[in-house]
Order: sequence, then C-alpha cells, then structure tokens
Amino acid sequence: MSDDAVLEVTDLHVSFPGEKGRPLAAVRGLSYQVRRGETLAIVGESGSGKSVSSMAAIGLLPTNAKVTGSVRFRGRELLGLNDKEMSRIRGAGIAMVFQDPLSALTPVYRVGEAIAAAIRVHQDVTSQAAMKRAVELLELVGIPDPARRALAFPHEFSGGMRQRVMIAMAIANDPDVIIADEPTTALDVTVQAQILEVLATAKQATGAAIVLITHDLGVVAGFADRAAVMYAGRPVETAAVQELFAAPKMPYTAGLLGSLPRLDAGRGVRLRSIPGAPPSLAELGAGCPFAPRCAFAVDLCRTTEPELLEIGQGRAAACHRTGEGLDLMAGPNGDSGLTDQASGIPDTADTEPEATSDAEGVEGALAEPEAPTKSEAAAVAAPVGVAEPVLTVRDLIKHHPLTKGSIIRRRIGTVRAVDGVSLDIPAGTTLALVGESGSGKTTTVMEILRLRTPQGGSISVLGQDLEALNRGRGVRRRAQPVRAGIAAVFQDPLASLDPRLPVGDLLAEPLRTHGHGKTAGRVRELLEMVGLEASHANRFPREFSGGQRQRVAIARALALEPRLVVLDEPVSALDVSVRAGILNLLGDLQRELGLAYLFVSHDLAVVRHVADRVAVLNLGRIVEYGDADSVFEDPRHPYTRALLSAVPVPDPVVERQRERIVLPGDPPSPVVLDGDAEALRGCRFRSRCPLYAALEKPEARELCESTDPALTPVGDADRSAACHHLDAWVPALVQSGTVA
Amino acid sequence: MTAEGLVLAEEETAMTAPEPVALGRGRIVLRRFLRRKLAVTGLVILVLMFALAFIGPYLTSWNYKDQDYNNFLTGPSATHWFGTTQIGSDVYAQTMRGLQKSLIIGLLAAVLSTGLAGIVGATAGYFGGWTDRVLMWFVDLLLVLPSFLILAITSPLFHGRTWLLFVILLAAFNWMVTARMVRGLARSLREREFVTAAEVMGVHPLRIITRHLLPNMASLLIIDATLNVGGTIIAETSLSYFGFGVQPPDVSLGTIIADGTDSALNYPWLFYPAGILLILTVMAVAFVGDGLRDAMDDAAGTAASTSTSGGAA
Amino acid sequence: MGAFLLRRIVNYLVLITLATCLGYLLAASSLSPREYFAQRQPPPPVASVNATLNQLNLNDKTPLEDRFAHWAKGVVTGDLGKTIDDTSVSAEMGRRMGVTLRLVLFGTISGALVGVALGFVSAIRQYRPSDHTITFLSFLVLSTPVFLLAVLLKIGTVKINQAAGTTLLPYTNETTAGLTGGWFRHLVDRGQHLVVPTLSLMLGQAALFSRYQRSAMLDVLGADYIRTARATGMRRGPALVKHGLRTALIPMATLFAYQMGMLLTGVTFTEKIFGWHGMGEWFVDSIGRQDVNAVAAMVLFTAVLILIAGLLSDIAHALLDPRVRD
Repeated sequence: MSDDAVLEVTDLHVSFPGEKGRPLAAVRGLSYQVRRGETLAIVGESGSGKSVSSMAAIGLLPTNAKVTGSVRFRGRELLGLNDKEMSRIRGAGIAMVFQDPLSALTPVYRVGEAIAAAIRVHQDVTSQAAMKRAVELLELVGIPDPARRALAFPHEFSGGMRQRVMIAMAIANDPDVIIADEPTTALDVTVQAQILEVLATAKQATGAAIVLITHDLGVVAGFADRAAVMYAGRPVETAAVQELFAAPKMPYTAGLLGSLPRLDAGRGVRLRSIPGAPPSLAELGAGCPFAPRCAFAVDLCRTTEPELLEIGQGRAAACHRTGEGLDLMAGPNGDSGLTDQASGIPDTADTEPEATSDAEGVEGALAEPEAPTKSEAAAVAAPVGVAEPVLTVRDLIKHHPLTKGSIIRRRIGTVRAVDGVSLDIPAGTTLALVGESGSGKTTTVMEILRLRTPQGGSISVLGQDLEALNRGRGVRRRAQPVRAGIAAVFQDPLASLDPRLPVGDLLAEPLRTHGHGKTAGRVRELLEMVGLEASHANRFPREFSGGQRQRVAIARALALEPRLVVLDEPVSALDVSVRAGILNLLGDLQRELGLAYLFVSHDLAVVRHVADRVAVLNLGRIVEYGDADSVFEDPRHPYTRALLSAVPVPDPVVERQRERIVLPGDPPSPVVLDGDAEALRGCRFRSRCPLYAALEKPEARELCESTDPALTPVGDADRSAACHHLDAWVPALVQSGTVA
Repeated sequence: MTAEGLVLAEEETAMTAPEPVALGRGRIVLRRFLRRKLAVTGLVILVLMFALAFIGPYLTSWNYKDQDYNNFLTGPSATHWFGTTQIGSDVYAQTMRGLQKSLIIGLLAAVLSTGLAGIVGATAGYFGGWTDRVLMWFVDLLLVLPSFLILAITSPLFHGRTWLLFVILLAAFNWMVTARMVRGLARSLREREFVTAAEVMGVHPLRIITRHLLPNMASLLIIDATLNVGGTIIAETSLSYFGFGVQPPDVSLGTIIADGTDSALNYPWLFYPAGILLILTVMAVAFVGDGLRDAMDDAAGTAASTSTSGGAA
Repeated sequence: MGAFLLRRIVNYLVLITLATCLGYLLAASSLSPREYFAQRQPPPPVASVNATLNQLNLNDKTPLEDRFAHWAKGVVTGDLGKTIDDTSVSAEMGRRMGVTLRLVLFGTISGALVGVALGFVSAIRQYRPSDHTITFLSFLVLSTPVFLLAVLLKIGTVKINQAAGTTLLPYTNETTAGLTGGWFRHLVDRGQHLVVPTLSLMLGQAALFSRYQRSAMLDVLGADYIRTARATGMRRGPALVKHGLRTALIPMATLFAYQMGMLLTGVTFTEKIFGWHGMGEWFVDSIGRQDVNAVAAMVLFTAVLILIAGLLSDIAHALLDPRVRD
C-alpha cells in the first residue's frame, strides 16, 4: 500500500436485501487505491457492481445497503462516519460526476446558482463571490460566454454542455478525488472527445485523482493509467492499462477485447464473441461467475471461485488458469480441444451460432482480415447485383415545424431533420448511415419504414415508388406486399417488443398481419434461425437477456422473408460482451438469406465492421458517401475525418500516439428559426469545421460562407463528398496513419 | 432510490435464467399485494361488506319497507338490532338495503366510467391530431362543470325511472379525469418502439389499440376502476343526501344519513351505522386500490411503468 | 407570457360561455317551474301561472330555443334574469358570492399548506410510524364524504361546547345574530364562526394534497439531482427541501386546478349543514324550487371559479418550473 494514496478501498462488500430474504451481493470484495494525479478506470458491464461501489465509497447508498470492508480517504476511514462528517468530505474531498447530466442537475435552478450553492456548502463566502467563482469555473470547463450562460437553466443546455457544468460543480471545492461514473456514455463521439479533454483539464487544475467508471474500453485506453475489470460484483483483473491491453490475464478481459469491433480492423472480420450474458446477481453459484461463458473453463472453475491473486508488479487476476501461460487472445479456435468445450456449454441460450457449427466458425476465424467471403456471398445471393436496388432514395426532405411552450404551442422555426438525402442499396449489401444525434438518421429511416409519400423527393422500396403507392384507393392493402419485403430492428429490444406478449405471439404478429394462417412452425424455425430454442416461444421478453431479446427482434424482422432489413442502432443498447454475437449473427443471416441491410449507427467501429458502403450524415444531408473501405481509409470530408478521429481506439499505444481532431461546440441542431436566413447560407458545417477555420485565403473562406457545397464525385466512381476544399491540405487534419 | 431499484437498474439486462412462466405477472402481483397489510385488510373488509349487503337482509325478519307501529324511535334491541326510525322502520334492514344499493351503484358506475375513459383516452392519445383536440376539448368542457352540479340539475329527469339511468348518468359525468390520464399514457405508449414496430409491420390501428395499447394500460385501468368505486359511492351518497340520487321508497346510505342527520345527537343509531359502513367501505376500496397500485408498479415489466433501460451502462 | 395568458383567457371565456349555456339548457329542460306553481295551495289558475311563467321566461310552452335566446340576451347585458320568486338573480348572487368565496379561499389555502407539509413529512419518513399515521388519517378523511364529515364535525363541536360549558365554537350561521360591540368583537365573532365550516373543507383538501405531495416527493427522492446535491456535500435535510420539495411542488400546481370542482361540490354541503347563505345553499334550494335562472347562475359562478383556478395554476406552474416558461 503506497503512502500517497488519497483513496484506498479495501475488500469492499455491498449487499442489498433481496426478494426472498436472500441478500443480493452487488459488490464482493473490491480493493483499489488511487494517488493524486492518477486515473484509475473501473471497467465493467451492467450488473458488475462498478457504480454501486463508487456510491458506497461516498456513502450515498440507500440505508438498507449493507457495506463492509474499508474505504480510506487520505488515511481516514469513511465507513461508519455519520452524515454530518461524510458531508464535509463529499464535494470537498471526493467529488462525483454522474452519467446523465440532464437528470443529475436540479431542473429549477440556474446552473450558476447550482455551482454557487455547491461552493457555499463548503466555503464561507458571499453569494456574489460564489457566483463569480461559478462563472470562472464555467469558463474553465469551456462554456462559451460563461457569465450569461450561468443564468440559464439545465434544460437550455445540450448534453455535452451539461456534462461540463457537472464537472465544474465537481471541481468547485478543489477535491482530491473525482469519481466519474460513465461520464461520456450518453454523449456523441465528438462530444465525448471534448468531455474527456475537459476531465483532463479538471484533473490538471485540481491535481485530483480520477476514478473513471466506464464500460468503454476505448475510453480506458486513452484516458486511464490503471484499470480494474469487474465482473459480477468482483474485480477479476487489475493492471496498468498498457499491460492490460497488451496481455490480458483473465479470459473475460481477453474476451471483451476480442469482441470489440475496431476502427483499425478490416471489414467483415468475424468478431470473437463471448457466449451468454453477464449473470444476474441473484443467482450466483459457487464457481467462477464467468465459467459458464468461458472457453477455458475447467471443472475447478465451476466449483470454486478463484481469488484475485497478485501476479506481478501492480497486476492481479482472478483465474485458476493464470499460471498456465494460455494465449487468451488467440481464442478457443486456436486449440480444438477448447473449441469443444466452448460448444459444449449446456443450456446457454445465447450460445453463438459459430460455437455450434464448427466448420463455419473455423472458416470465419481463419479467414484473412480482408474477408472476401461476404462480398462473394452477396454476389451469389443477388445475381442481378447493383442493377437492382432494393431501396432508392432521392433528395428526401422531411421538415417539421418547431413549436415552443409546453402549455400553448406556437411555431418558432423549422426542424430541417432530413434535408435532401439520396441513397441506394443494391440487393444483398449493407449500407451504413452514420451520424451524430440530430443528424437525421432516425428520421430518414422512419420516412422509409412508414411507406408514406415523402414530403419532398422520392423513395422507392423494392422497386415500388411510394408516391405512386399512396395514390388512389386501397393504400393499406396495396402496401402490404411492400411492408412484407422490408423489416426493421430497433435499438432497444426491451422497448421494441411488447412486454405483454409472449415471444411466440410477437413472432406470429407479422405473420398474422399478412394473412398467414399457421404460424407455429414458422415461429419455431425463426427462433432456431437466430440461435434460440423453440421452447422460448412461451416466454416473455423480460425473461430474456438483452442479447437474446435482440435476437427475438431480429427473428421477428425475418418472419416475412424480407429483402431489406433496416437496423436502427441494433447493438447500441447491448452490453459490450454480447454485441459481437449479434453482429456475427447479422453477418451470417445476410450471407444465408441474401438480405440487404440499412444499418444506422453512431458507432463508427461497428460500422467499420459491417458496412459495404457508408453514408455520413450531418444536419440532414449526406456529406460523404461511398465504399466503406475507401471512406474509412481515406476520409475526405472534414466532418468524416473528425468523426473517425474522435472514436477512441481500444489500444493504449495507438490511442496515445495518434493525433486527434476535436471538433468545437455541440453537434449542431437542424433547427432553423423563422426569419433566420443566415442559417441557410453557405456550408452548414462551417461553424465547427476545422478546415474552414484553418483556411487562409479569404476567397476560399468566402466560398464556404456563400455557397452550399453539393455532393461531388471524389476519386473513383463510387465516392462523393460535399466540401469545397476536398484537396486542401491543412495541418490540423493530418491523419495519424495508425487510425485508418 | 430504493435498493431494489438500484440493483435492478444495474441488472436490467443481466437477467439470464428467468423465473418459470407459470409464475407469471399475476402471481407476482398477488404475492406483493398480499404482503401489504392495509391492502389485505381492505380486501377483507370489502368482502365482508358485500357479504353483509347481500346476506345481511336475510338475517332479520324485517324488510326495509316495513314499519313497526309499536316501535317509533326506539334504540337498538333484540328485535330491531339498529333501532327504529320516527316512522318505525327497522334501521338495520334499511342500512343493509342502503349498503347493497350503494355498492352496486358504485361498482357499476365505476366500471362503466373507466371503460369509457379507456376508450376515449386511448383513441385520442393514439390518433392524436384533430381527433385528440376535439375529444380533449370536450373533456375540458365537461371538467368545467363539476359532475355533482350536472347530476343535481338533471336529477328530476330520472325521478321515477329505473336507478340504472342514475348509474349511467353517474358514469357519464365521471370519466373525464381518467380519460385525460389514459390519453397521456397512450401518447407516451404511441412513441414506444413496440408500437412503431407494429405500425411499420402494417398492423391495423384498431388492432394496435386493442392488442398493444390497452393491455399495457391494464394495470392503470384496473387501479383506476377500483379507486373509482370509492369515488362513485361518495358521489352517489352525496347526491342522495340532498335527494338528488336514489329516490324513496328505495334507500341508499346517503338517504339514510340525510334522514338521521338532524337527530344524530339524540338518536345516534339513526346516523352512525350507515355513516360507519359508508366510511369503512370507501376506505377499504381505497386501501385495495392503493395496494394494487403498489403491487403492480413494483411488478413493473409493463410498458406503463415509466422508464426503459438506459444505454449500455 | 402576456400573449400566452391572453390566449388562455380567450380559450377560457369560450369554455365558460359554452358551459353556462349547457348548464342553462340542462336546467331548463330538466326542471319544471310550472310544477312549483301548480303545487301551491290553493292551486292558482292556469292562466295566471302562464302569465307569471312568461314574465319570468320560465314557460315550458315557449320553445326552449326562444327561452334560451331571451336568457342569453339578458346575460350578455349583465342581467341573469329573475328568480322564481321574481327577485333579481344578479342581486342575490352578489349577496351570496362573498360568503362562498370566503369559505373556498380559506379552505383551499389552509388545506394546501397543511397537505403539502404532511405529504413532505410522510414521504421522507416513508414506512415509519409517522408516515403510516398520516397515510391512514388522510385515507380516513378522503373516504368520508363532506356531508358526513361536516355532520361529524358539528356533533364534535357540540360536544366540545358542552364540555367547555360555553359556546366556544359556534357552528351555525356566519355571525351571531344581534351581536353588539365594536368592530373587533365582530371580527372575532366572524372568525369563530369560520373555524368549523372551514375545517370541513380544509380536512379534505389537506388529505388530498398530502397524498399527492407524498407521491410527488417519493418520485423525486430517487432523483439523480438529489444525489448530485448530496454529492456536493449538502446534508440530507437541506438537500431534500431545497432540491426535493422545491421540485415536487411543481405537480401540485396542476392539482390546484383539478380540486376546485371538488371543493365547490363540498362547499355546497358545508353551507347547507352550517347554515351559511352562500351560492351552494342557494343552488340546492333552487333545484328544489325548480328555479332555472338561479341554477344557471350557479353554473356560471362555478365555471368562472374553476377556470380562475386553472389560470392561477398555470401561472403557478410557470413560476415554479422554468421548463414551461416562455
């Protein structure tokens, strides 16, 4: 134990009273210490106990929580302190930054007041002085025009700005430790990059230690010094970040790293997936909680839970097989004996398809990075090829009025949600639609799915023009065959599956709607197709894990044998360790059934993994469009470059070397206020555009200010981008070679 | 935040081996309901009240219309358990009859009004636009006039007709607040992805309302209907108190209390039995409704319960 | 804010107009003034009844739309017509309005304050004895119809007065008849008379507000921003009041509008039972007298009050919640 540790947690246990009198153990023996100026990441998925442990450290758990062990702050034991004593430490000694900054700020107070109040809790200053300090803090965290913005209410801020306010509040009393609980999870990638910078600034300004709680290994790689990986309430591995990523010693860590889609990997590479889902705390058995999902598990693992043992300088792992020198990153396919074990997992409904069909799994794993399998398969499935698109969108426009006031509404402007989008999806291929929040991705998708006459432009689904479809009588009946050919999978399966219906009924619904009499057989077939069991038809969505639910949603989408499936952020709501399984399943299904995908995502790493072609959306417009490999390897539009550079790479070596383009400001809003003609003039990206900011010639800048750039072909035939200065070379935009 | 909430939130996506289907939602709700003492007490009292209302009249030889010319204003005795009135009516028989009447009217009107509220609210909420505006404006209009006022004014219309007309009117002017609530819920359900999913699948709107919206609001409607029973019993007795409700020779708890009010100090048996039964009944209903709400809210899993799971956290 | 209020008021005026018209039409088609005269002893001749009814615009032989038009024309010029006893409705209303308003005002304000306080205590002490007690008592009050509550209060007051040996709390009428003395004596006397009737309204209000405040408070107790406030080092008590209660008050603004109808129903019973000559008493008596115009006046009065409550609650909502401003 080092003397200079400001926060030292030893053997922390937290449990809650459970349903049947059996306590739920949320944290089971967590130990760590952080020094001033150091960043420790606590990594884990939902239910791993990472958030509960931080709340326990600052004594804000509900009173019925049972906390044992030791939490020492600068040598002083915190567990057992009363509220009065704890309150002196909270905020002043240990400060918190929470995940969702909208709900974390009291809606009725101005942000300046909130920060001033936080100051006055610990410092005996006048309210004027506190307010003055609040404005300074707001400036420090990068809020423009802080004196004015201090008087605004939280709902008048964007998510990123609110998170800055949270950080300002956390550093208001110069704390020694800042605990940041998923501080960037709800934010866009470009904003995430900004917030991480602000956190770094805050760390510098206060010299505090940071405990970063996150599920995102990319963030860990770039930001943390050391990391503790938690699984089912226990730390399973602790290490310095470089070592952790270079050579994980616990199969779970290795699995997580292997299952991450990466920007720097090629397209179509089969991801290593971890079967199953994180366990529920209520039903932990005696053995290693990861054993049911572990490809390396032996009998000992199922009976005895391994201790977290020191295996080197500042390194520890909880695995019975640590000493055996296994190559965890090579995966079970490297060793056929282990493969058998993996496929022999009993009763794990989430078992991945490749685990049950060996040949395919091996083929996938052995394939070279630039796996040609996919495009070949696509060509076979769609012999007509590019000639026959399943979806054609031309100049799609969707504007809706913006109203204000929740009691009486009045129109104050227009939301130009989709402002001229053109797309094509050839049969059997994947087009990814990429953009930040407010870019118009979801609106575009819903315009297509609802099959209504578009407000402007045209949509043609499976060769059927929607305007023609909606003309005349009997629209509902005539639209049915088109509806059968296009299906959708949404982001959150818990939300997109009616909780009141059993899975059998959910899958039968599209069949019945489209007049199929006998459904039972097809339902069974569908369940098996997505790797579930026929017996699951009687269960309700709530009884499944997140990954299984998404499988149900995929099965439902396939019910009518569609040719085009719209996937709206299909893995964003899922735990990291189950994402890979879903992505692999989607790839398999596409190959087997010749499906075309419209894949909507904000996650560029995922897109890199699945897309044949990419459309980058900003403010309702496509700014860059083309072959995925080509776009990812050589992005031309400054926005695409910035987006790519904002994605953290889960590799500390790469992550710390590469140069980053951090876009200023928030993702712009597609709102144009009535009477604001200026907003529509020129290139609409220029307010955040690093290229525009770096342009030296006034003529060049004038061009951006006066003329809206159109999509123009770039290089080879299949690529286009909307920028006046595609060939301009600006130092700020130099890509570090390692990213692409 | 409760401990359970905290853990469940963390675990939201971590449920693997689920409870068997047989132990479905109904059982969970029941189990949670039975754990609440007040709610169970309420249920027991309510059952007793119904038993009393329907079996009670047969326990005595007196009919509520009978008059005992030997006993005027006598206190409780072996022959007249609750005493007699100024004109020699048996207070026990009257009270049992009144209880029966109040219970039936309350129950029927509550179910009718909740049903109406469900249909109007779900229609307005799901379709939105003009349908919504027109319906909700109508609701606003009716809310400007307290139902008591309207029912009092229209009371001469159902004098001498069947009491069922009274029930219908009672329901007809009592659904507005619930309808607003249902509409709000329907609007939020409409935005939920499972409704969107059904829409893009081509499911017919009416089928979406009946198969997806209403079942997901079931717990709200059940709770509301329960609490409405108490509300309509109060409304009915209040109207009857002024003579605007149940008409003589029939009696309700309201008319009995009205008759006993002036002599409550000197002849307490005219007033207290009906008063106490009335309070007990309404309170029992309230406890049951409250218990149901707690049990159903906790059992969650319904779309009606507020939030969905957050991101990948 | 100004434009918003204006639109609101216009909307309300339309609602008031429609509600009052609806009230008149219902009353005119449901009540039968002819019966009121026909039942007199000795029965007056039909011709004279018709003449009186015509003069009062109450003749059921005149088509409803004509009677309505006549009444509406009068209302537009501020004349609410004649009561069935040929006195001015407006004048009678002027006399009675103040009485009812006094009860409503004191009942609402005291009820809301007490209810909010009880609900707050109940929520932060959830499942403790104080919460159970408050919950039980508020259920008890809410399960007791106003007429029963008023009668019970009356009986209770009699018992107290008997025990005290003097009229500590008068419970009938607004003032003591024939009281002599200075203005102060009169004021105290009025105050004393106000206590019990106000209590009959206040208890129900307090119970209702306490239930809603409790659940609103429970909702915010788990809110992230309270956790944030606590994480900055604020103690539990101040955090609960400054962040919790402050936010949990917002939904109460809406409740304020919704309970006005209930309160106006309740005031009818209070006035009847405690012998206050207000609008509620008049309404009940007027229905007995088949007095169409007086009943319509009560409908107008009610609609105006409910919508004023609605307007006030909108304003309160906007003041409490910055998210609905502008």
